Amino acid sequence: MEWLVFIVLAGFGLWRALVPTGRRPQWVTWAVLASALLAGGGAWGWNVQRVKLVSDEEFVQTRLPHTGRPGGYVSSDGCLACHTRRYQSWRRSFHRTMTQFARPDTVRGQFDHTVLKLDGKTYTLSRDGENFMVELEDTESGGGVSDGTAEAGASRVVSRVGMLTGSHHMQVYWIPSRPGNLQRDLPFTYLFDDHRWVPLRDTFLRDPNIRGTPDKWNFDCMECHTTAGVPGEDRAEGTLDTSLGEMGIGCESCHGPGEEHENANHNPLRRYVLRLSGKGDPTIVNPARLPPKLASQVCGQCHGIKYYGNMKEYLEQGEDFRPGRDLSPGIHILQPTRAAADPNVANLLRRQPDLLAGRYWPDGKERVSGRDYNALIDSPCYQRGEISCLSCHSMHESSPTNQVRAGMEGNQACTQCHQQFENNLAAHTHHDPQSSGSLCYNCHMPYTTYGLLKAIRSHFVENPSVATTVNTGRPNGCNICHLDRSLGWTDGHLTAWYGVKPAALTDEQRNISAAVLWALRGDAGQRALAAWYMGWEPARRASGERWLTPYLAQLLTDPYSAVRYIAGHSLQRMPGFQNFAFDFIGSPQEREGARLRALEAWQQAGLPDRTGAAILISPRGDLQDNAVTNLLQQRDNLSMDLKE
Amino acid sequence: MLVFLTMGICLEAMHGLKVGWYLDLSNSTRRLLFTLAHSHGTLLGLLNIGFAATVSQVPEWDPHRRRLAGNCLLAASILIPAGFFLGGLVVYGGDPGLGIVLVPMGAILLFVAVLLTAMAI
Repeated sequence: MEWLVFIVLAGFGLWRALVPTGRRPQWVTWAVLASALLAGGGAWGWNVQRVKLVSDEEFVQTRLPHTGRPGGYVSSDGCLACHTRRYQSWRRSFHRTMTQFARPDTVRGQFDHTVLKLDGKTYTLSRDGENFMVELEDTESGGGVSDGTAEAGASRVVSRVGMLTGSHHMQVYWIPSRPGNLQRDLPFTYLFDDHRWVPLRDTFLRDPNIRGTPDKWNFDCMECHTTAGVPGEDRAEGTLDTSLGEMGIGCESCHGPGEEHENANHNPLRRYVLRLSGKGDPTIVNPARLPPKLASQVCGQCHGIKYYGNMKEYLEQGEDFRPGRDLSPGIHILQPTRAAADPNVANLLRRQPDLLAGRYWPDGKERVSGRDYNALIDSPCYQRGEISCLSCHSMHESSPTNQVRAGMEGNQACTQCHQQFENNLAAHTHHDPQSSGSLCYNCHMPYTTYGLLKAIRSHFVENPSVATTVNTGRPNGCNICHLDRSLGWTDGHLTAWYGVKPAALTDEQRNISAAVLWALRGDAGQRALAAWYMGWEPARRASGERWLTPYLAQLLTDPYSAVRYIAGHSLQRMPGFQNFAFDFIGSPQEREGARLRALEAWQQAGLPDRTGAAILISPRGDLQDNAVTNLLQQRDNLSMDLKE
Repeated sequence: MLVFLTMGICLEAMHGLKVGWYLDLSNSTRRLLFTLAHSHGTLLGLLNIGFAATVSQVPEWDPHRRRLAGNCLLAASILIPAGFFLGGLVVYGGDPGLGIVLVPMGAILLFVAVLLTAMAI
């Protein structure tokens, strides 16, 4: 059309210019020619943009997982017209941005002039207009990324990054590969707080001797990082055509497919009748109206450690679970505490006996982040049918950071049921009612879960128990705050205050700080948690902080990257260490150098704020090196790979 | 017109004071309805002036029909902006409050008024 306007105007202008005009003013001729020029320029510019858009659309449709899966999914945008407030709160959430297309407004990593090296391989990152590019070895991504950008036989190719995962703490990037629209990871992660790239493997609590295989997004991540993904694998044909309802976790992840609901509510009379009656709409699922068990399963579809009853069917057609239905029979929750009662789990564990390693504490309780449903369903409050995830969390009435429902950040979350403690809190907690020791969460949902380079609250609601700590290694709510106290000290108080039966303890457990024991001789997971506790503000208020420095210094040389990362950050919260330079993925020599620098700075700062036999620091402020070395030699070097 | 010009000033004030109840994205339905109430009220005020001028130019207009047209216009001038305004006071997500039912009633009356005027000219 634009070209037609150009031709007509240009023809008319030329006719005016070439044919003798008599009385006609010349400015009309020039105006027409100028208009033709503008129309032609506009048409050219539009065409360039159109070609670019078509090219972009072709890339998205052919190389990336695409929307448009069957099953009545209409995407969250269909909800905006009627549910503006809900849509807006969802837009703010990190659920929405869990997986996104790589665009200038979504990519947080530094791509300009960035060269990354790992295991002898070089990855060159760059920008090409609005696109984010990676130059890498073709074999690195399955030989499928070249897509015509490489010369035949070239060993290095340039590929465009198509998607990314994460928008809260870190970001991982995905490279289109083969077959079909398979996405493989760029083996680096961009850490937001640190403003730097690090190898992806160093962001997990994983034995450095374990060499992981590249992640395949379509199989390892998609099921929970998008809405209603369908892997679309045809093993017989060797093809893969992954489709999804929506990129990121959209409204339909929790409310189910929205097509029927959208169609039914084109009728304004129906909408007003439903609004005014206060009744639910049977064409859509509202988790808030579901019984606690089904409501929790909406979250549990992703926040649980699960496996599929029929894996082949899932890989071909996706999950058959829909919000409002029971998770089973399609999805089984891998719950060690119920393995005996669930023949499916028991069979699975017989076939894969190491399946539980790295996911659970020895008593079968959740150990890794994002699997809170597993913890919840073992909690007495849930089992009595009194709570669901929505008792404390809300997708819409909450801060995006942890999605705790407004008003439930404090004790109200518990006293909404346990009202007997509301007006007599100190008598129950034996702590100042205003202190962190009187916050229900801190004692009954302590930070004993690991993930995302930090400790996270357990969602198994339990009473602090020294016996459990001794038997499982899982820290208790008392000793994660009272870092300078031993399990014996805690045991004495729990016995005196609550009549708990005393636990059987070794001399070390009775006399040495539990946090020191976790930091020095614990397994890698315990060391990571201990390092985090040492940087946790309530713990430092309760336990002092300067005395923690030598233990954090020691953890700077830990074999596990994640432990070193957390220890470095906790150390930087200590007075005088705010600018302490430490690279958690530096060479062993650099790490040892950092440890010595930290110790030297600690010794020069004078007497620490705590001393005593429990924390292995003499009254003169000297670290009892022999005792520390002795505990270090007892370190639990069991190979760990916590599977977040 | 004075009422709706005053309303316009109030709306501008809410812009100036960044009142979330009016400006937040989640209140976009309210914002739209209040804007419609203001603009319809003001334009219908102008239409009333035009109607008065027309009446003076058409002396042969049947008084009964003229009165009917005038009343219809007057009622529409109240019902339409009032419907938008009341519909915006309480909103149900993307749907206006029940006050919105005044709008179609006003629209029919406005249609009648304009039709009668057109037939008289």
